[in-house]
Amino acid sequence: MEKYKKTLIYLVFVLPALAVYLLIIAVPIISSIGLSFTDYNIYKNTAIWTGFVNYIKILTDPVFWFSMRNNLIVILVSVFGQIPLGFGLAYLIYRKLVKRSGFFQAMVFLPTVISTIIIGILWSKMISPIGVIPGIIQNITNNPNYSFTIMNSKQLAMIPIGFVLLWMYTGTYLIIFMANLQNIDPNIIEAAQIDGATEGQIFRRIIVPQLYGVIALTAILAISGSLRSFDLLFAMTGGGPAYYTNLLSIYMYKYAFVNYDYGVGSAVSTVMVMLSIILVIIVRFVQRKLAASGA
Amino acid sequence: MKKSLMWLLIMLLTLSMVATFSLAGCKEEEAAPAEEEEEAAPAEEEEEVAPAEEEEAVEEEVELGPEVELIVLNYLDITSPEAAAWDETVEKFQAKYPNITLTIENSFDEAYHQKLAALAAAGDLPDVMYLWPGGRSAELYENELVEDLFPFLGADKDNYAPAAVAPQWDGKLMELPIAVTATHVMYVNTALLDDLGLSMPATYDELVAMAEPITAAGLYPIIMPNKSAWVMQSCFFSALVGRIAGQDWLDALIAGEASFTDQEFVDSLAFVKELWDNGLLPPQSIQLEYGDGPNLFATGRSPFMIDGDWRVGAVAPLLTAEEQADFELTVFPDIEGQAGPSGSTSTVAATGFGMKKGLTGDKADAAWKWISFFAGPEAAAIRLIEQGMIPSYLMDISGFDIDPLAVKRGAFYGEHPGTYVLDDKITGDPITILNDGLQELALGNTTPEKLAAEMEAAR
Repeated sequence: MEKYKKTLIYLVFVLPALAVYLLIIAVPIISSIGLSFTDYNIYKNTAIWTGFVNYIKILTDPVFWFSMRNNLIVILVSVFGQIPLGFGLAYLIYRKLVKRSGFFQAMVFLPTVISTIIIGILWSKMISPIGVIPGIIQNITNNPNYSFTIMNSKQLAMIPIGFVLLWMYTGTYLIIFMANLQNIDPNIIEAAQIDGATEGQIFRRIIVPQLYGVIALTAILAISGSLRSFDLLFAMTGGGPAYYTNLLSIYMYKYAFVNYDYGVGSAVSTVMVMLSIILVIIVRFVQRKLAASGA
Repeated sequence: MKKSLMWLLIMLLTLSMVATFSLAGCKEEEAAPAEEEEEAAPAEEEEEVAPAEEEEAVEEEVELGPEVELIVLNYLDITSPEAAAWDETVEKFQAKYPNITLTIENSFDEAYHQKLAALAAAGDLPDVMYLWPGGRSAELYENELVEDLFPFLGADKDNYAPAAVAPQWDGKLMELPIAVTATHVMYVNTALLDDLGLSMPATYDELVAMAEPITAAGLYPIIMPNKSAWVMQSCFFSALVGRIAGQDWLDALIAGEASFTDQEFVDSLAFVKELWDNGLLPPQSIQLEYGDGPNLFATGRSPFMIDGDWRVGAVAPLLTAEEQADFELTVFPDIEGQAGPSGSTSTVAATGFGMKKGLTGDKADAAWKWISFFAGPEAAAIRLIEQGMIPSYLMDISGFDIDPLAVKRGAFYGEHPGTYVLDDKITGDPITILNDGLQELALGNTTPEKLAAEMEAAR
């Protein structure tokens, strides 16, 4: 009877969430994988099996690979930019190595509470040839035609985007690391200081090993977030000029919702899911290795 | 104790959820009559106002049919100035046809296209919907989801500009256009040209010679915001192909008898590259938002702006009637050796309402009444006054109090023959490649030959 009750309570709590997960996440992913092998026509609701035609189409399209390259840049900026920066700033504030830490914490976190679309439009306006930042430079240099030509470069157009991504998301990681740093027993740090440990040694030998799990978690969050990122770039550049700031999500959007080619759009989303799973497996593998070596 | 607390908590949660949903249900039921009252209110007000202000309209005998509800999906940014003209149009229609209840949903930009596609996929299209003659509406036509309007239009066809009621898809009229649109207009600020010691360019070479002095004065030689990739293709390149390659070649291309790799098309692409290379189009215009153009032009940042004729509605409010005298509407100068007509622009039938396939009886009659009212003289007069839009319905506009720039827009159509707008005739991958490719040409990352070959391969 007791066991039955436990199972019932378990089911009451788990089933609603499981049903929502299956309906909103699992079923669309599976049906999307199915659609990627067809020439699905949304208007007639017909789908003819086409095999790997959609995959061949995207894998032979240079724009797909350029979008993939841009996605990897976003992942690199997130994993090797936002996370270390957020961690570093959290550590500075936690160890009270800077004055007015509350102010810094609020300033770094502030962009996180603004809507992504607004941030995209805001930065787009600020760096536009008639925006505030080029306007100041135009006045200083007395060149009324000055503009940021970096946005017109096929190779470098992602640099300003990377800067905005750092500005926008570092605060999120700062808060995650701050919360976890506060869970570390201060007596351990005090004991290390009494034993003569330097600040660098405390950081490397005490803080970092205790946060391996959090670092891995933030890396997974950063990777999955980067792969599905869409709103900021769409609002800021729309993927342009040409396709130079396209991400896989924008590439997919254009196929599925502008050209109404849902088969190709589904193929792109399937590739994104696969890529996400592979990268998360790599992160988990690295985390286990680090944890094992730390122990 | 702990167990009973847990059960109590679960029960409380369940009760609160049930209560919330029940109350929400009650609220919806309570709200429904209020909404009906709100919808009815304008009609009642109109009935009160109508006898006093619009005796003529009341005197005109309109045959009212039975009560019909019409679901309307409209393309409108309700925060835009156009919203006032829309409200007035709906009020006038409701006054004329009180038996037809319009249930309107407004949507705009991408959200509109997504909604229409979703409704079509669900087999739940509205009775009437806002449509384009081609482009993104073409999918609906290809899948036979929209009714042909020619049988409804009948002899009334003669009351519209022939270009507006030309067949749009497979010999059918899928929407009744409210205007004929010229997608290429070169706006000229003649006062600014005078200030710079320049005059209206008669030839392309004269225009090229102006790039240097205009740039030296810290101005843009030509304002053409190109951040959105469609702008170059729609507002300039289409007209350019019409000029360089000519209408016959365009017809052959659409019939599948000509290729994008033909010399005429490659030359047109090369001409665009030349405009970036000789400085007429400055590199920073690739970063200019489409919405920035009218303000920059009206505030004297350039003597020239290339855009569509619809921009009259955005430029005119920024200028006084006296200032508008210094602004002219023309087209890009003729190009040496062009095969197409001199002084041509690119034209396309404008947008309008279309009818869901399969509507019959009273519903179809009501739908046609709305569609023809929206394109007809009463709604056209509202748009002419509020937005300076020259209607497709043939009517004498001389008696209307409209902006001088709108009058010039009216004259523009008679002075410039039209060729095709490419994205009206070509859809899918080739047009996506062209739009992106025109930006790549500007940035020197592709060649006309390569771009033409990519387009041909994607056909």
